[in-house]
Amino acid sequence: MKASFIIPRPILAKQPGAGISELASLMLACRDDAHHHLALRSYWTEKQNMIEQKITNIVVIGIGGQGALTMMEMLALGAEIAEQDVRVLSRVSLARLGGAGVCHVRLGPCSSPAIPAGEADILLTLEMSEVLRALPMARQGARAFVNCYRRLPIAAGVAGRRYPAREEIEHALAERGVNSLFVPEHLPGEMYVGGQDSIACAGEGLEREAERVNMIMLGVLCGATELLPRPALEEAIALRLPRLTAQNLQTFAAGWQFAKKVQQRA
Amino acid sequence: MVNFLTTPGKRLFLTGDEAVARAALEVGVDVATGYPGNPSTKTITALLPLAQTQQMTVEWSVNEKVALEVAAGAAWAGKRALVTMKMSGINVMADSLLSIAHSGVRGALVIYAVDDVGTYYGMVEQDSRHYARLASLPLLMPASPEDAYVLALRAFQLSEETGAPVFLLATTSVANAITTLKVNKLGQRPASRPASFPRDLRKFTKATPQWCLEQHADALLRLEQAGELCAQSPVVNRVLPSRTVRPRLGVVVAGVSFTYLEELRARDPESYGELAVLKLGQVYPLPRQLLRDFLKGLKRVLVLEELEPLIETELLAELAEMGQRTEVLGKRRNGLPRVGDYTIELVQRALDELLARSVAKTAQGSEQVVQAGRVEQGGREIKGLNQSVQPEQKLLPLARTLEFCPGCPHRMSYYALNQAIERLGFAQDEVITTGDIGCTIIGMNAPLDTCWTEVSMGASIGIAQGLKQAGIERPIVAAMGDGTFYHNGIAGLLNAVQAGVNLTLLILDNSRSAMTGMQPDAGTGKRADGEVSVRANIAMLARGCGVEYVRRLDPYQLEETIETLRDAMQYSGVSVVIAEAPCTTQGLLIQPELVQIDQQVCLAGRGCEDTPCYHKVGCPSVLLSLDDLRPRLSIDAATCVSCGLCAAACPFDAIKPLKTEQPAVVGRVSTRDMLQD
Repeated sequence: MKASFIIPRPILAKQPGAGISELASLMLACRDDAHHHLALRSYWTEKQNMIEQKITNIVVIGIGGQGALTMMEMLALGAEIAEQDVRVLSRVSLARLGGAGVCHVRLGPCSSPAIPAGEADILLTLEMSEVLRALPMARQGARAFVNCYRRLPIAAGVAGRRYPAREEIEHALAERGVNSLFVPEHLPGEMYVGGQDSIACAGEGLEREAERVNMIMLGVLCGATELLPRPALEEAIALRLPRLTAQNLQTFAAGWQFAKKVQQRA
Repeated sequence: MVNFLTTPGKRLFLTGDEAVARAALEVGVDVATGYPGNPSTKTITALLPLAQTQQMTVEWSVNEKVALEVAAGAAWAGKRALVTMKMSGINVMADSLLSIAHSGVRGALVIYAVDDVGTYYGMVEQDSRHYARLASLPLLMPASPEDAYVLALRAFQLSEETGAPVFLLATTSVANAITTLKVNKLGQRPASRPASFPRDLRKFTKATPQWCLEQHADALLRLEQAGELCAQSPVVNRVLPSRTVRPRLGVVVAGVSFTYLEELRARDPESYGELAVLKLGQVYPLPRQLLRDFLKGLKRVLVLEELEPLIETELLAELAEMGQRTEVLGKRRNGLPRVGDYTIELVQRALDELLARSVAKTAQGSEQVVQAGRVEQGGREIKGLNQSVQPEQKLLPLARTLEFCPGCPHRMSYYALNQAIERLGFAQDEVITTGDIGCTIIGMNAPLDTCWTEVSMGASIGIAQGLKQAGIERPIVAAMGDGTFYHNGIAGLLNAVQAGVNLTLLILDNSRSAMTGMQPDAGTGKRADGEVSVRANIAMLARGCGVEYVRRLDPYQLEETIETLRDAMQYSGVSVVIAEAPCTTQGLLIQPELVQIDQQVCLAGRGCEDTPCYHKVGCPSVLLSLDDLRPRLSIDAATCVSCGLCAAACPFDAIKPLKTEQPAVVGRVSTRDMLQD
């Protein structure tokens, strides 16, 4: 007969940050049974607490050069500022143009840095067809935020492969039970405080682009889900991108505005 | 960019690489060296800006072998040293590694390397734990960034205590994960001993056989000592509690799989809580006594380790010595993969198999094996992962291969090489170009299709010599970047000159290690810490190797480049062509005016069927319309750097400089974004 424990409902106060590993290493010292029982109980209580808190899994996907990595870092920093547990994994180098990059962001008390297959709650996509790459990771009822920026890989173009139509992508998402919101590559001017022109010429020697897709999508995510408080993300943007903060915040706000407008209409 | 390493406070948000850097700072590392290579680049990158304020020397060395030798020299003088690299670098430094391992160190030497298990970045998938065995060095293996920090601190301590260089081996899923971790206060820099080095031939030379035997014995002694010190430390190895007082089933786990196991246990303690777990941070030498204590009374044990069954095999040996009949599940008998990385799904299947066997046996009294997967246990469902079967995805994502950036000088050189091959009367697939490591290998992809092989740093020239000596009569070109040439290409060139073969070495010199993040190399003229340095001269190096035909050129001068390459390929002997131009990721314009396609003149789909501006150039800034029925081409003004190659390729002169001032185009991502990382 094996002895087993019936775990009571949590009896210890939640101790955020109390490492499981500490308790585990404590176990090494606890050889006699009485201690063993006590340590066991607190260890499994800790585990129980962990399960009761919800984990949110976000897949960030884009192609090299789009700033997906930067965006993932800002998302994680925002969570950090909002004092949420966060774990991030980016195993793909985005340093080169053209390659695809999948980043995992997990909010909540998880151990694994990688999102288990079929458990992504949110797909955040900076290039339209790339959402197809992330799709196997989505759970039923997941939400996809898809930017309509399209880039046909040169190898595919040279081989005569066709870029999938938006309707086909929408259909593929629906078939998997994923709810999607497609976001235009350029947001309408009314989303911007002071109109789009206010950010067009950004100055600081970087006049050629300012409306970054990654900023738009960060704003859309924040506006549509309120997963993280807006001030926390804004602080993260200011921290991570000190050079063009004002323009990036404006673009972020426009994305936020876009998501809110869509919600109102729905 | 914010420096995360020294942000005040007890909690820092770091990658595994950076966690190692932070630990190195806390122990007061004196010398840190490395060679860039993802996924291990971020350790040195994080330390570099702090070099001055923390009074340490930090450098990108010319290759991994030199990096190790520099760090070992410092550790011989009694200092604390760190050397970092990706797994391929261990192969490069192996010769010195074994020698230094047998000598030992006087200060501390930690070797931080990352195995790219699952090959997210390309190159050979290898299990570098073998090197610890080969060199008789202790090896610690972290499971997460938190673990990397703790084990790095321990590694320095261990090295200083025993005199053994200590391996700290992470994998991509650990080195590239980011999380918040608790750190110690970064106080005053710990005192380091004044540098001194005693003349001790018995320890630091190898030319006397007897001394070599003594050194070998010493190394094994240090290894044993280190093993014992580690085994006692609860931060290195941990026994996790089971819900059962006397568990019958156990898991021995090392590396990132531990985090998967932790998560599964947290989600479903009913099923997985009854397992006893031994998490090993110390992988070589294994903590034998701890292992024996753990195995006692276990009926069945699962070993979770990526790649080779090293722990599994040692565990079997241990059980045999103990005379204990415990069934071992893992790679040898249960087919857990030796290729690629483990996932949480795979770990769950392995755990279910471990549990299912036990259920099957108690239920039926036989060794019936239940197939891995979802298993009902006495009406109780395992609440692990969502493994419901999804409908098959019909619409698949587009395959994405790496492409040269807009205006990249390498594209110019390869395009010119293809043209030169054509002018010599060959088809492109009749002339072999051996490729090399780094950005330059992107020349293997469509539409350039120039490179044929990729082996290791600088190998293209040796392979080219071999092909030539095998009797291939047509010209052969070896292509490599400047960093690769300095790293390990010079020896190959020297060899080819001595052999007297006919081949052309094309060096694509952008004076940086571009692919890994624009690290400076010997030809940059500036060190990574910002100090001005002496610029190496590739042409003089080639002449010094005995090459008489050396040509330097600007690859943006297309016609000259084609003609020079054509000439070089006909030369009898080794010819070296150096194409010099900086990397274009800065997004700076090469010609003052942007170009655009004049739709009135462009005959795409109306007489110009090849559209060479698209199909031969392969530039991300030349856009093929995705909506029109007839092919319509345009230039993306936001990313184009005006290299002029598409204009040169156009047979109808349809691509012209824009005379009017172009309004700023918003919304596209410039290649400049890359520099922000």
